[in-house]
This record gives sequence, structure tokens and C-alpha cells, in this order.
Amino acid sequence: MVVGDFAIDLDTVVIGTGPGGYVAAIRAAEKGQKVTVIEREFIGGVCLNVGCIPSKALIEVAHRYRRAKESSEMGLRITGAKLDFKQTQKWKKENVVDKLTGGVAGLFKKHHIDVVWGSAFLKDDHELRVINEDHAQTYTFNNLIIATGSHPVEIPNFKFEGRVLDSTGALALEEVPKELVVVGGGYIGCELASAYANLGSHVSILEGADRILANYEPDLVSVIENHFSGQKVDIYTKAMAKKAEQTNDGTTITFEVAGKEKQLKSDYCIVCVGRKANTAEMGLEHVGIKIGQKGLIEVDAQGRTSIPNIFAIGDIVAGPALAHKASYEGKIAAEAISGSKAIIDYRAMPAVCYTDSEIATTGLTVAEAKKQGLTVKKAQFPFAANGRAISLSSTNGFVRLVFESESHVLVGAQIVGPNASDLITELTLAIETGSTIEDISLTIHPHPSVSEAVMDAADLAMGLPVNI
Amino acid sequence: MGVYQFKLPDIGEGISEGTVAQWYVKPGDELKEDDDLLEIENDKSVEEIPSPVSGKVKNILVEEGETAEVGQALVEFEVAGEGNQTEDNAVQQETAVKETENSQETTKSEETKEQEETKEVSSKQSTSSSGSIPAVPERTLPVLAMPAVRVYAREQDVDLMQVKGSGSHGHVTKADVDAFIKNGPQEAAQKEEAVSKEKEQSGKAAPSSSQWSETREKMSGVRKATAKAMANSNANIPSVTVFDDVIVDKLWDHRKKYKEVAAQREIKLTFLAYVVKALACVMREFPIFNSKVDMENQGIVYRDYINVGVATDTDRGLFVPNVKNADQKSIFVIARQISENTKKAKDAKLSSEDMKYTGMSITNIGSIGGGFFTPIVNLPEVAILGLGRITKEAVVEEDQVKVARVLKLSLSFDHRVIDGATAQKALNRLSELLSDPELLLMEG
Repeated sequence: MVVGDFAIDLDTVVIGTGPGGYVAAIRAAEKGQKVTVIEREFIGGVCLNVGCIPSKALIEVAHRYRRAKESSEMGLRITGAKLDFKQTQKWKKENVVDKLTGGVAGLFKKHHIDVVWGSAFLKDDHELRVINEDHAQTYTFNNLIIATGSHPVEIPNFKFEGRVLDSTGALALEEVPKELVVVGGGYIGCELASAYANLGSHVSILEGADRILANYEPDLVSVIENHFSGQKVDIYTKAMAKKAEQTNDGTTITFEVAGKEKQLKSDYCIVCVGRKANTAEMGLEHVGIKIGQKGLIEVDAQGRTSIPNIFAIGDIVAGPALAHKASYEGKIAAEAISGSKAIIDYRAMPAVCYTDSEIATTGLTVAEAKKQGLTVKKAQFPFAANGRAISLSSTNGFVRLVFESESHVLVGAQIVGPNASDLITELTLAIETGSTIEDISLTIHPHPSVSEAVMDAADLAMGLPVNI
Repeated sequence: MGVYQFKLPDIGEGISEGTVAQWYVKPGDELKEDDDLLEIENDKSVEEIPSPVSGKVKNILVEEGETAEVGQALVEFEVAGEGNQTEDNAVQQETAVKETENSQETTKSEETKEQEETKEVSSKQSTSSSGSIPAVPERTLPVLAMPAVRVYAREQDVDLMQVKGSGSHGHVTKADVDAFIKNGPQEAAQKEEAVSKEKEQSGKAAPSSSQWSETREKMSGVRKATAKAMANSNANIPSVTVFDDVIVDKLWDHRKKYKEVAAQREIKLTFLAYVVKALACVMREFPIFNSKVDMENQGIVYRDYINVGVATDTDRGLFVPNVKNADQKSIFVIARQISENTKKAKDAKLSSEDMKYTGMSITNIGSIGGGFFTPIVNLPEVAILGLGRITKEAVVEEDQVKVARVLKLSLSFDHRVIDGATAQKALNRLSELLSDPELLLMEG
């Protein structure tokens, strides 16, 4: 302890206020703990400020813009649809991001959660120091939840500066680029590519693997690829990004495909090749917290690290780096601190990719189920046979149910198509509650809605298809 | 090549599960139809099950010591042939076809069906050789329970694996968890995994609970059956026990005299054989002792045959094989039958047939020691005879104290259908027959 630095005693401390940290803090407060959060940059973390939320705002604007121009088939001819991108960014910041982050700050107040600004460093298992530019303060804590999230990975010769951007920079552009190169065809890269393509950019995606969105099954992705091929989007697979050179008004990206070096000129280059856990330079190892591969903290089923009063949740522990996973884990950790026997016990983890069309998955794929030794069958219903999808003029894609052959219990679902992100919730609930395809089939789905495709898929699974 | 799944057959009346006592085969073994396959232990019998097919053992799905339900697949064979060996087999192929072909359900000619089979099998093989998992492991779904029920069970320290679900598709409901807390794990403790899991947990908890640690072991099939039967009897039978001494000097001498004769015929003549004969005689004269109670219809059912059970202690637990038609058999034949039954019980060779249809049982702790005791009637029987050790005692005969060999008899009976006086009369008659082997010979 520095002379004159008197420690301030705290009860439960949460480092990070992203969707993991802020949820953990509120739940801990609801359970009667006195909670303090430590935040180094912005309330709400990456998700609310520079991630999920603003990207969806941008994607929505892009959608509307494209629809405005491409609805003539339906008799809607809009002339002079004009994009004021500065206004878009202003709306995104003030009416979306600020509203939500302000909301979280309000919730903190409501639950008497104090916010300490700065970066936290652990001194021992009950003491940490928060450093904020010019001063530092030591705090003691009874329990700690680490929820520091992750940051975009930088690759050699693509330093994030100027016109080479990470996802944060990609969302904050002041103009729509004419030419855009996206390095990395994962879900973040494809969402951004999709949004900017809708806004009018010519986009080139460079992907190292043999296909984009490699985490999703090929038949889901082919719907997206088809859509891209109808737009100004070029996809280069098995492409090795070599370097980015910048001038005042653009970048030149050098990459290698099939042993041949190629170059692309663009206004901006976005690099989305993955995210890395924020577990370095916090003194975690120093206090004995075990950190495993990829910088991920090792935790038990309650999120407890190797130090019993210190928990870790979200992107810094194993599992998919998803906001809703972090929130779920945050609640469990907060309840564990209050003495509950809560454990991480989900049976389905939904994931959504907001491309055009959306992809949403939950539970197991057929391949995953088989790998686990389950005997499963699948049933797949196309949106082309769904009335609401037809009236939306959005008939690409399908709903697929994966269920155990004998018991008919649903174990997974994949959807690509309109409103997939919302449709997946019903199926996640079905898996979580152990529902069978009969249960889904016997549940009345409102007509007309795209959700009927779920019921139709269940009917099909039972061998009693009505609408196909 | 096709795959044949052998499922646990229905072995006896009302028996719904069995424990795999022993596998005679291992994966990779080639065997012929009727070769020894495995031993199944269930409610008090051990059945040796022969292989129903010729083929190669592919996968053993239920390990030794695990319990399977009737209809559950125990083993998979690779069999040569046309693919129409059994119904089960056909069903399996059909699902296989459905999985690979998705929605093709139309009937196909035998030929194409066969081709698909081959395809299916070879694709299975290729996945198993390329993947890290050597064989497709048998895995069931997790316990079906709503998330809130899972939370509730955790809070109550209840392992859902042990709770029997009453909801649709076997869902475990909150009420099931409550019932489990109230009534304990009797029913569901059958699940091996659950028990071993708990063992693990109690093992983990041990260090914190000081030096008073506990070790838990799972009940064997025999122990479970005994526990169930005894608890059931004790709960349902208003039982009374009457005791009596009987002087067996004459019996002692009689046995001594004929032991040698028996030995020449390779028969071990025991006192028990005499008692079985005497009891059969009493059961004939007092038919109520050879009856069962049907409370539901307020009836008493008399058996037209006289089978006497003999409780037999083995390493694996207590078994009660019976001597069938004991009233019609000579004491030598009875003695041989008892020896055979005992040997079968010790070698785990008893079939359920050997133990069915017992009219009344004898429990002979006398061979180990002891005097009077209160045996528990084994439902649906209505009485049980307990034998103590034959000892020399001072007895009074014609006002003279003399030394005599005395056998102690304990007769427990079901007071619902047998009254005290009847029981005592029966016991008196039994004593009479045992005290005078010649009379037994005449009456038997």
C-alpha cells in the first residue's frame, strides 16, 4: 500500500459493466449484496456501446435503405431515397446507444450500485487497486466477479489505425465507403459486410477457411452466400491476408489465394478475425487465479475461479463469446455469492447471425448430436411454403428441427430466414423444458406468421405435414 | 452384414428389470446360436441366457453390475444375412434408412433395402474409424425437467437422476422432487449412475464432515428384492409367532441309522428333510397354512399342491427354492432335492421356476446356531416355520429329570387368516410328527 492510500472496504465488486458485469451487479444487489462496479471505458461494455446494439442499429438502417430502393416489385417506387449517414450515426449514438447505456446507469442507481472508473489490478484475493489516469485507489472486497470481456484480435501488418479498422471503428464511420475490404468471414465480418453492402458499398470478404461462416452448417450459409452473390459482394475463401498499406484516401490490401498474390484497393479495411479474452495485465495469475488456454480463466459450474471468493464470467471463460451467455453466467455467479446452489445448467445456447437473411441456431446440430451418441432425426420446413414469409417477400431459408428418434425430444434447431433471431427463442425454450416435437406441433401458432414454419416443421417431423 | 440388438427378454411374471451378473462374451467374440451369452440376476433368480443368434459381438451396451429394464438393448451383434432375422432388427434398419435418406418412406424391394443396409453399416464403420470415438457410445438424454425444477432440486440437494418422473414423457416435476424428499430414494435408487454419482458426492463431502465418514454401496438385485419383499410382508401381515420345544431323540436316532444308507445313494440325509416332510403333512391336514390371502376380493385361495420352500443363505443373499409336491415324495427324495437346490443357489443357477409356487417356507438358522426367533412370513405365503439348533437339555418326563435332544420351533403366521388356536394345533401336530419318525412315516 502506498503511503496515504487508505483502502476503502467494499462487499461485492464487479469488474466490467458489459452484459455480463451489469447483469451480475444488479442480480447481486437484488440478492442483498452491497455492490460496486469498476469500469474503465463505458457503462454497458462493448455490447451496448460498440458491439451488438449499435451494429444492429446500423443493420436496420441498411435494411430499410435497401428496401426503399428495391420494393418496386411490390408496387412501391421510392424515388430519391437518400442516405444521410451522419444523421444515421447521430441517431445510433443518441437514440440507441445513449438511451440504453443511460438505462443501465439508471438501474445501477436504483440498486444503489456504485461505479468506480478506472482499470482494476488485483493485489491479493481480497484487495485490488483501481488506476484512473492520474490517481489510484485501493479497495478491499469480500467477493469479486471478473467480467472484463474481450477485444478484437490484431493480425500482423494490419495495425488498427487510420483506415484499418476493428469492428468498433467499422461502426463509427462517417461515410459509407465505396470500396470496403473485410478481413475475416466470421459472423461479425459477415454482418458488417451485409450492412455496408445494403448501404451501397462494394464489399470484398477475405476468409482464410474454405467458406465463410464456418461455424454454421453449409446449407444455412449457402442462403447467405446466395444473397451476397446478388449484391456487390465478392467472397475470397482460402485467402491469406498479407498486409495493408495506407494512403490519405484509401488502403491497398495484399492477400494470397491459391499461391497467387492479389491486391485490392479500398476506402477502408475492416479486420474481424476473432476476439481475445481481456485477462492480461490485471494481476490475475499473481493472486493465483488459474488461466488456461487462450487466456481463458478456469472456473467451476458456478463460475468460481481457483480462488473461492473470485468469480469469472462471459468472454473470459470457456464457451461461446456471446452476450446472453455472459448475462446468464453473471446471474449464477451473483447468486452463488449469496449462497445459492445455482449452477450453470443450460441445455441450449442460442446464437444469431444478423446477416441478410438471419441465421439463428440453438442446441445441437445433427452432427453434434450424433457425435454425442444420440440417435436423432431432422425435419426441415422451407419459408417458401409459409404464407407470412411470402407476404413479406422474404422466402429464402428454412426451419430445421433436430430431435431424438425414439423420445421425439427436441435437441436442436437451426433457422435461416426472416425473423430467425426471434423464432429461435421458442425452440430454445422447447429444448430447455424438454419438449417433444408433438408438444410443438400441438401448440397453436398464430396465423399468419413466420412462426408457423416452426409448427409446420414439427408436423413434418411427425410425418403429418400439412403445408408441404 | 446387419446389426442385431438383443434386448432383455421378459423372464418371469411381473419382473421388469434385471441386473447383468456376468457377461460370458466380449466385443469381437464370434459365437453361435445358443452359446452362453450372459447371466441376468433379478428378483431372486439368476438366469443364464443363451445367444439367440450366431454372429460377432459388436457392442456390450449394459455392463456387468448394471440394471436393465425388460426390452432394453443389452448387446449388439454383427450378423450375416438377409436382414430379416427379427422384428427388432427390421425396425432398426428402417430407422437407419430414414436417417440417411431423410424422408423416403416408401416400401422398397428386398434388394434395394439390402443395398442400403450395407451402405448404412459401412458408413457407420467409416465414421468410427475416422473419428476419435471408437464406437457409437450409448447415450441417453439428460433428465427431463423444467429449468425451475432443476433449480429446485439443486436447492433441495436432490439428484434428479434418482427421481422418477411422473410427467408426460417422464418429466420430473416439482411434486416428484417433493415426493422423493419425503419418501426417499427406494424406487429410483435403481439407477446405477445415480448411486455412483452420489457416492462420488458423499466422497467429496467426507473431508469436511470430520472423521465420521460413511461408505455407501449399491444394493445388489437380490438385496433389493429381499428388502422389498420383507418390507412388504412386515407392512401388510399382522403376524404372530408361537414357539414350542420338541424332543427329537427318536428322530436323532432314526437319522443316524439311515444316514449311511442315504450316503450309499449319494444322498445327504439332514434333519431338514424330515421337517419338510412333516410340514408337508401338516399343510395337508391344515390347508389354511397352504393358502394365500386375496384382500382385494376378500377371499382365501387354497393351493391344490404342497410345495415347501427352504430358505438358503448364499454369498449373494437369501434365496428360497422349494421342494415341489413334498407330500408325495419320500424323505430320501426330499433330502436329495434340498441338496440340489442348495447347490444351485450357491452356484447362482436357480431359475425363477425353482422358487415359484411356494406354499410355506422353512427358515433353518439352527444349522448356524440359535433357538427361538420370529421369522417374517414371505408374502403371499401365510406362515413360516423357524428351526433352531438341536441341543441337549434337561427335560422332565414322568416326573423324572432326564437329558434329551430338543429342537426349538418358531411358527410365524398371518393372523388375518389363521387364529392362534389353529396355529398352536398345527404346531402341536408338527411336534408330534417330529418326535416320532415312525408316525411320520405312517402319516407322510
